[in-house]
Amino acid sequence: MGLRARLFLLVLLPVIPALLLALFTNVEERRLGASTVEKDAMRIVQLAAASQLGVIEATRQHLVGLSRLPQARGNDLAAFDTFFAGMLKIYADYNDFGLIETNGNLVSSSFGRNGQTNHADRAHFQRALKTQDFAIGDYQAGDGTAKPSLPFGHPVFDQNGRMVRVLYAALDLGVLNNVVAKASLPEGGVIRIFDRKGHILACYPEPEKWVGKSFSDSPVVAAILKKKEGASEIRGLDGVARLYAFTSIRNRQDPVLFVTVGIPASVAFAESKHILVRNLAVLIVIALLTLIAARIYATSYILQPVKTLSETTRQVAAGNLSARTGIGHAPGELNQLAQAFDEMTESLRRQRMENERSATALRESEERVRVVLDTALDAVIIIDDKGLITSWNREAEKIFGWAREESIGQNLASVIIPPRYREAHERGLKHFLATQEEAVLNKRIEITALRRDGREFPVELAITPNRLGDRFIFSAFLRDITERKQAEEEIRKLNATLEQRVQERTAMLEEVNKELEAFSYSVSHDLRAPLRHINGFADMLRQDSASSLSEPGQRHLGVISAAAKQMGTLIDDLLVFSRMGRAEMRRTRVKMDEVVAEVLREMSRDLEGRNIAWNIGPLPEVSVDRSLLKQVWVNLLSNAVKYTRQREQAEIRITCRKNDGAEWEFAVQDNGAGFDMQYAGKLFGVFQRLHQSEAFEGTGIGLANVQRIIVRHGGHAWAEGKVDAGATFYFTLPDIERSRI
Amino acid sequence: MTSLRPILLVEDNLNDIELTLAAFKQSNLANEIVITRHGGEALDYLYRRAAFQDRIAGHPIVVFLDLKMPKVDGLEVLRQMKSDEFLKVVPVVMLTSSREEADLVKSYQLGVNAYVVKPVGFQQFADAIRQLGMFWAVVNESPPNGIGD
Repeated sequence: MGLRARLFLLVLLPVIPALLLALFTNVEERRLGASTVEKDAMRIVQLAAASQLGVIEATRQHLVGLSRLPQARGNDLAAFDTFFAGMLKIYADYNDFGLIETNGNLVSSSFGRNGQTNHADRAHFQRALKTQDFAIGDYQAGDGTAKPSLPFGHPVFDQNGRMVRVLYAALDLGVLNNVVAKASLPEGGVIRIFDRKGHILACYPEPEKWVGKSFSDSPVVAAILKKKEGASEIRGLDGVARLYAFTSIRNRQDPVLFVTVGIPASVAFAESKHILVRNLAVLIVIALLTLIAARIYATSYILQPVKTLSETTRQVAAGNLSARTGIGHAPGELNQLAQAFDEMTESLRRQRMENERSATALRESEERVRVVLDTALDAVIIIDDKGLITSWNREAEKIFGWAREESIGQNLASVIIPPRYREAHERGLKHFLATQEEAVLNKRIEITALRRDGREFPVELAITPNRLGDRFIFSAFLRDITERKQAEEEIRKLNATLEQRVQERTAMLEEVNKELEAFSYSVSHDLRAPLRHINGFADMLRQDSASSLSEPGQRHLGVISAAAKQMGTLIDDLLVFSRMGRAEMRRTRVKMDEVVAEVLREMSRDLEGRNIAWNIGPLPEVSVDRSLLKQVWVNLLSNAVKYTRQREQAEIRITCRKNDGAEWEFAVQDNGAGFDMQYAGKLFGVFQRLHQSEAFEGTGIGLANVQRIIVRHGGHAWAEGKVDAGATFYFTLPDIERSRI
Repeated sequence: MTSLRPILLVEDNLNDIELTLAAFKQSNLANEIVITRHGGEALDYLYRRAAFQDRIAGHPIVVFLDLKMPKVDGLEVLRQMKSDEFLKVVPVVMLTSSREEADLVKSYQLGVNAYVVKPVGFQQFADAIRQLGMFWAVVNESPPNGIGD
């Protein structure tokens, strides 16, 4: 039911009580009208009855008068015929007069038909005989005259009071009809007179149609005959609904005639109908006006906004979020609703824009991810917690030979896992989902995978589980490591070969080392022995035979001794140098200042008679082989002392600092003979000497030893100098303390 | 036995023997110097075997032992002496041209009493011999006689 219909119904609702009231009033009016009409009818009926009664009374008086005539008891019946014929001329209202013998034979009448007609079965005769009084008969037609009549009877008594005859008169029904025709009937009203058998005796209007007809079978008539007197609304004989009033005319208490007056319902209710029509008209007018007003109001204030709203809603529903009702700020719930609707739509529009932006961002993000995944050099496969593939990148297509469309939705196990591992895969997945224990997840493992062509190949696989809502997805990153495996195999083989080679080389080196050791041994032992002998015998020669030797001979002997000693020193230094490279290093924490002090103490003999200004800075504790480092200091300090020999005031400075590489950098600076930087590179070579042995003794192995020791400790040594302007020797040591502890 | 016990010198090189004897001479030691030319001979002497089976019983007061010798070398002689219940009390001075640490370490492990690297200079050598000879033959009291005799 549309809103308009509901509105109209709402408007019409108040009209209903008014309508009911009008109808109720109408019922009342009708009852009142009916009652009035009934009274009128009753009055007319009674008036008519009284008039009829007057006619009947006149007839009775005539018959009473006639019955007293002696001739009525006499036998001169012919005279009576004449008399009765004369009567008809006087009383035109009668159709016949007559005398009836007690056996019912009509012996005299206005028409003189004596002995030929018998009235024994007729009501007027029977009742008169029975009651011995005036009696009213029933309708009759004919009987001498063809005119319809109402017969009457009256007894005739003899002198003894014995009833000898019945006097009879037939009243012309025209009289009755005239009487009823005079009744003042309302329009459409009918008046009728019945006899006891239901014959209509008189009637108005249309007497010619109804008079003489019997309606004894009609229930209407039967009811009237039974009730004798009263009123009721009945559908009449002519089929017209009427209000009927009726009464009976009595003779000796017996109802003999019945008078009815019927007034049509239309007349009876005319007034009430009129009022009803008026009231209804007023009501309809009011209702129509209200409806029009409601329609106008509803159209402009309800239906239009509602229509606008619903149209806008349809547009919005169709996706047009820029649709607006256009109903601005105005009071009224509908306007507020429209406004709220507009606000809602605006909010929806914004939300949709936001959603679109988000969707675009999401798309871009997905695109990015897809591009990243597709350009990844690893195969990236994502499966859900049922093991079904949800993502399959380009590299995966390449490695496994399955296109993305073919693999999405497939079970991972059946696609890339060799059949013999599938059960383990399913078990692992179930185990993880049940316990969240990860045996192979989140780390790189190497497994065997299955290619589309059925070939198996090694892959490196990393699976990371990710919780997505209440479910897990698994991202698998795979790469084909066939080549790597081959390379690894080659490397392994190479390594094996290499190991073998190393072993061989080591063996060789060990052999060489042994030879070297044997060489050193024989050098130290066998080479020194002849030297010793040369020297020893030269000495003995000098001691025992000095006097017998010439001057040059003694000098030659001295040269032989010196040369032998020099060679011995060289051999010793060379052996030290060779041992330096082979000896094991034993690192300990060594305080350098203590070592320097110790070396200086041991050098005290060489320092005698020297004027040296020592400038020793703070020196750190380092992790080194103490004896080897001591050798370094011995070499450097003795060099410094040696090469400053020609200085009146020698200056030797020992310092240490941290250099850029976080190493300890030691320096020994002197103001001695110095050297030409051109030969700086040669300083640290074995047997390299930049000075004549006559000027500065030495074997030329000391700095080579320094270099060797420092390099073995992970540092390096170098020197700076200038001829006659001093030299500075540097060496570095890694700060092992820091890197180790 | 009242006479000085002899000094046993085990040396294969004749030059060294001469030099060593010259050094002993400088130190004025009165002890007899017995010279054996290799380890085997030294052991024969010590155990009075073979050529030395008739010698008078008694251990040398000190043994100067060259390390490197043909056949039985100094270390082997030292080992046998120091593992002999009677001979182990005889002081042994190892004389060697070698500065090899391995030899030094091994000698001390075997229980050598002194270790002398023969210097190139004769005088230094003579000084060392003198000091050691004095120490073992004169200053240091030898164990009581009779042990091992």
